[in-house]
Amino acid sequence: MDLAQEFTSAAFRIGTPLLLAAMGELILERAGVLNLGIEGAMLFGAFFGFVAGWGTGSPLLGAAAALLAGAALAALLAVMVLRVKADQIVAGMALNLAALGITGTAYRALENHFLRSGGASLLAPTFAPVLFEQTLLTWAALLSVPLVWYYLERSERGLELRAVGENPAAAEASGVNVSACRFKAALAAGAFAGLGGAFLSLSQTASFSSNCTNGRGFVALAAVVLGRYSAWGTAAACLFFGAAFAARDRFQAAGWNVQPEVLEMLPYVLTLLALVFALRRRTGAPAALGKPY
Amino acid sequence: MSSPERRTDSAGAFLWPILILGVAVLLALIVMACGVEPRAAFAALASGAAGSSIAWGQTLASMAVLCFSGLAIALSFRAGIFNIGAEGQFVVGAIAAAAVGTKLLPEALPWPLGVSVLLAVGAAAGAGWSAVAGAMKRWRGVSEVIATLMLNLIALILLHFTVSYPYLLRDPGTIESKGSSLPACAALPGWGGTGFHAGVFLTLPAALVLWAIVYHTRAGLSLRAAGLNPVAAQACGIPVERVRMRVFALSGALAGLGGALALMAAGRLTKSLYPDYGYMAIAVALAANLHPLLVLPSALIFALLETGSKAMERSAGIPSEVVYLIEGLVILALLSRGLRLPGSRAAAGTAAEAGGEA
Repeated sequence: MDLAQEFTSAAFRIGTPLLLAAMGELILERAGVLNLGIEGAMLFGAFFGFVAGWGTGSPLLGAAAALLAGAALAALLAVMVLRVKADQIVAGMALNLAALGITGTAYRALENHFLRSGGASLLAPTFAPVLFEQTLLTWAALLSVPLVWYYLERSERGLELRAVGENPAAAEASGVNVSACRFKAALAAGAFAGLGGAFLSLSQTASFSSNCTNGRGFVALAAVVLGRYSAWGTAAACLFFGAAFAARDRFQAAGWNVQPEVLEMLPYVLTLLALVFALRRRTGAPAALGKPY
Repeated sequence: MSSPERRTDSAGAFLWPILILGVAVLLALIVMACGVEPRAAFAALASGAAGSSIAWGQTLASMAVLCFSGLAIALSFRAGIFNIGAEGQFVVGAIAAAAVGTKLLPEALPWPLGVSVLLAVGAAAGAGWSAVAGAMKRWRGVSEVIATLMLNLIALILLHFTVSYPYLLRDPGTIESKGSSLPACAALPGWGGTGFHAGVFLTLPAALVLWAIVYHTRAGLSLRAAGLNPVAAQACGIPVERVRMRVFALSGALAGLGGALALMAAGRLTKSLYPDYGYMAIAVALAANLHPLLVLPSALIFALLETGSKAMERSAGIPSEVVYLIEGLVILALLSRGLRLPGSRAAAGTAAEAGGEA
């Protein structure tokens, strides 16, 4: 395989978890909820996907468990935000801390138990590449982009969801159940993020480690902002970040004198620069984003 | 008393006991999963947090860091600013203090001067880092949540960057990536290897000064008004935008000061200088009801938990990650009990502002 092919393959592979998480985040943000708990939902997906995959021997069942685990954490966020009317930002950060605690602790306990009972090392089965060196999850992630676009921009349900994000009071007045809509959006966002997390523990490494998502949820969050809250823009941003991280790995492997930190910083710096200079106030953000209703 | 608004919401009242119960069950399960008798685990926690002079030294040093970041967050949230950037401001304060301390500070300086210079540098750097987010919000309407989150992530990468290369701050004499050691004039007086340092004594005056500012000055009144209802505050002649800028800078300075203190206590810059304390500080500030004086006991409790859990991991084999779980659940429990932040209520106000601009 030549260098360009290898690089493209790596860019898609690294971009997959970002793409999955970002598509979910996009749906929820368009409904007006800023989900900082995305990192926690990914971590939940990575851990429970790993455990289920390891327990059943099937990566597919692992991915299904990840989907449910991510959705469960997002459901908790939705209850906090929609029922208790807690602040979205603080609740999201709290869920990140809790998810880091639960998965880290449970994994260490599981590992201790496993190693004590004579196991060698804790590994899960992985998804095998199906087409062009990519696994099923990567293809699912790519396929989800037009689907999410169609749902948000062309379907009646998507129109309702966007109305909820722009002006919840008006949406409620025209007969849309704002809480139900946001709750469903949160479930979808959690499921997407969980699947993105499962990709990390069932496709890239077959193992889990404490805090293995390592800020990828926040990169996905940045991609949504940079993609101006559109499905195509967000997907482009995710794949661009995937390419940047793939380039970092390639430079390191080639022993080039390029500081990897510069490329690691790229998603965050680029997002801030875009917000300040390019997007100005035309960010495309829903009017009611982050506001309680 | 001007505490954040409390409500008695049926769902909140329902969730609070469930969350507490959940914590207890989870903790018991974790302890059992590790094959440890719960009583032994708690004994390890208690003796590790407060059982010896070394334990107290580490706990109080952690408390100082949590206290400065907690004060920074309490101040911002009071003013209706969702500045979650204490983590980044702390790190940037530590990096700047390390840069000045190892590259510029003359060796012959007497220690009070060297320490003061580095504290000032850390505070200035933290304030500057925070002001970036403040300026983005003020002049470009960028959400401070996104801005401070991105700045946190950038600051952490900067930390890894600076301690990785000898032409930056890395100590060329070691194999590990860590910063050069600070000169003697930047050494905080300690207490015989217990981890306790003189910086702990700065927390009480800092909390008192902030309490006085927030509750007993005009500036504090403006700050609280801007948090509770920016539109009404503006109508009363309070320059809300300017007040917010000052809050960004002051809270950044507090977090940066904590960074400089942590650096001087450690003696050199490392990759893991109190990691994630800027996020834990959110729990500290919320548990303190955003009151500057209550931040002190709140920070002490979380610091006891933090050092105790490290000891519990060493002696009883219980993963120290359990602290993150407890902190997350404490925040959720406080939120579900009906703690409302001033900024949440201001939502209607900011919507009106946005409408006014359009």
